[in-house]
Amino acid sequence: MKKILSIVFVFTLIFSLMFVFNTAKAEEVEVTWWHAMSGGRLEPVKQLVEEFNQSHPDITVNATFTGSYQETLNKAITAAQAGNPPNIIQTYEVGTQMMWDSPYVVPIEDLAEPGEVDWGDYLSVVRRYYTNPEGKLVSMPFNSSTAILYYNKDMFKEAGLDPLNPPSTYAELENMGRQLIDTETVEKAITFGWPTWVFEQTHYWTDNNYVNNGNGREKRATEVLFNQEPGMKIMQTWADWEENDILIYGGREYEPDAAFISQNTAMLVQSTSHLKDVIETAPFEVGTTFLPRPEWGNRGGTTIGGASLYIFKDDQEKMDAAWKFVKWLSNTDNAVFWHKETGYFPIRYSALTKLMNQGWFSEHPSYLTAFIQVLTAKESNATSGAIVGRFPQIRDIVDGAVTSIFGGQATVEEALNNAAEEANQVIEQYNESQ
Amino acid sequence: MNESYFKEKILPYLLVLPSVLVIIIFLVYPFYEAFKLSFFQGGAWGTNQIFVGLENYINLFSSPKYLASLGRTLLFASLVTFIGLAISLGLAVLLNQKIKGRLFYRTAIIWPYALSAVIAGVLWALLFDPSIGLITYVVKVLTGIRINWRTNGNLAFVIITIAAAWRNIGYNVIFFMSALQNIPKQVLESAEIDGASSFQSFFRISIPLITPTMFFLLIMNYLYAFFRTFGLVDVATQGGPGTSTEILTYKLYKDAFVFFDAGSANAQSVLLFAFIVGFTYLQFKYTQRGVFYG
Repeated sequence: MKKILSIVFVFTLIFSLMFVFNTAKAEEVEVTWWHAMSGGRLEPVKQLVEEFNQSHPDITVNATFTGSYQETLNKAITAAQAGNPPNIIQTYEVGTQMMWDSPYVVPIEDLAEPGEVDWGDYLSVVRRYYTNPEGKLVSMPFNSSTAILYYNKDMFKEAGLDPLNPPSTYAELENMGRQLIDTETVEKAITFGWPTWVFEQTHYWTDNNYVNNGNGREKRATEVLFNQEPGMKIMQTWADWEENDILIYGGREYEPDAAFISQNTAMLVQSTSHLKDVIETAPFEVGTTFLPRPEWGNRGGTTIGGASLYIFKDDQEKMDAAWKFVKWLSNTDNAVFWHKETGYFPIRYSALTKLMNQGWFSEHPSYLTAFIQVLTAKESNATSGAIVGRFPQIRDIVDGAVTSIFGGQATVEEALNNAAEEANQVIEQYNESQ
Repeated sequence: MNESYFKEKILPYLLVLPSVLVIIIFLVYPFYEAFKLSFFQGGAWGTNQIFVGLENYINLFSSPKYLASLGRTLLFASLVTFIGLAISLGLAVLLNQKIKGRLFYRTAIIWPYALSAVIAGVLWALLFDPSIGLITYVVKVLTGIRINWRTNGNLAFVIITIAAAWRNIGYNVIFFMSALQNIPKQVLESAEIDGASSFQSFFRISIPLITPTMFFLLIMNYLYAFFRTFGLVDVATQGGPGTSTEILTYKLYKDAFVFFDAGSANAQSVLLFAFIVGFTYLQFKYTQRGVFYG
């Protein structure tokens, strides 16, 4: 009898406690955030969310890791169709057109009161990337990176090159690459991470658009431009390098890092988002410099890659809470924290000032490389980056062209023209379905 | 007689109801949805769904990429099956002999099957890695040629085929071994007494007696190559370089979940279903003629 009584007592206690907690929670607004940050980036995300929840008792943010950017986007699409989307998702820059076209997304600039945010404090190149043709910032930039050159200082010394004078142009890259090979320091001079992205970036570096209609910035892009003169020239140089052992194709994304770290190449073009990993794992002194650019063309600039945060339509209360969180995430202190933890750019000039005052860049000069590269970019449609529907598929098509050129199955002209034709069909199909 | 066998009229239906429900909810209904959606095209967000009739199918059959993928998959599945079965049968025969350390070999041969496709994919991709791969290095030392499967599509295809066949060897060997052990000893003995060579008794007695197992493995291997090699391709090559290792399942995945082209992807899944049904039917119809059920 005593036993039964005590069981009854325990249950009553549990239920009443649950009731108390429920009523307490009812006043809070719950915000769900689906993000794609794993590995070393997960912990900083958790810390930020925890800090926000503690400092904002009326809002609870539930952050969930939902796989890669693409997986997160897939889940969000399914959830939105089922009428139950998350409040915030983080997804990649190549999904931008698709997110702009989404009937479920609300532009963050619509959620901000006029004058509430000093948009001028946000890095121009970052703000421009996520601003749609109507001039509205649709998503909040969160993690941004760009492509830079990494080089092996020890190998440069060994080959009799000045490790403080890395290549900045294509001609220099070729000459130094030749010297590295001729002195038998290394068999292949350079490899590219994300070769299709580097191809895009090199267009912008020479101030050329990648797609029409002002790089998709004036209105919806309908055609790619990579099979015109600039694209042909860039790719022809790459093809020559590949044939002369200067360049080795190592894979589509981060696979080429292995060749550089294991000292099978002396140089690597890769996203700054892997800066920390490369420097920490390389058994040699790593130098970084601007992405080398061809001698021809005007100086444009490189654009950003990475991801941003989108808010989905929901009750006003939820959207306001989501906006509050997103705005808080991008404040100066958090931008500084995020940069230090992950190596992604701080997206505000005030954060940049703070980092500079703290002496961060004198200790970590490599982090400065990427910054100066994007900060000195010319303001143009080219350096805002191309926006086009089905961008991931276009990258896939271009990657096919690159490998068929390097594999000797097609000439540069054939491969790029075929790829352009195929890409244009894909764009047409996408635009028709909107 | 039959009618009175079950007194209850409803009970049997109730008993099978759970399984039927599971099948309807998880198999029939999704298939119906895929079938229906294969006649629509629309935006990635499920908006603007427009009925397009057979356009998705027509697009597929007029797309050189899809036809190439279809041909590639058939070649891939055939190679995986025939190479896999031939090597497995050889190994099964060897393992059935009284050799030293037989138990160890038997266990070792099954290990690859215990590996997930993902690990197999990483393993083979690394062995053949253009800059740090062991096999790349050995080939370089022996022939002076630096092989790079990231730009050489044919090589990538060969690697995927080897990896897929290698991974299924353990499964095949187990079945072959048990089939070989089930052959009555007397038959083999009497053949030996009659003066049959070991080759003769293998090809004339053992092989015919294990044809049911072979037939079973043939179908299982084809199904394996069609459907269960996705992970391998995803990890090792992502369908590349270009589209040289893009088998049907991988193309379907990419169109659906990477490129957000739901209409085409649904049409592809319906076609894949039709192919595999037709294929299995043909195998049952024609291959079974050679099968001898002791």
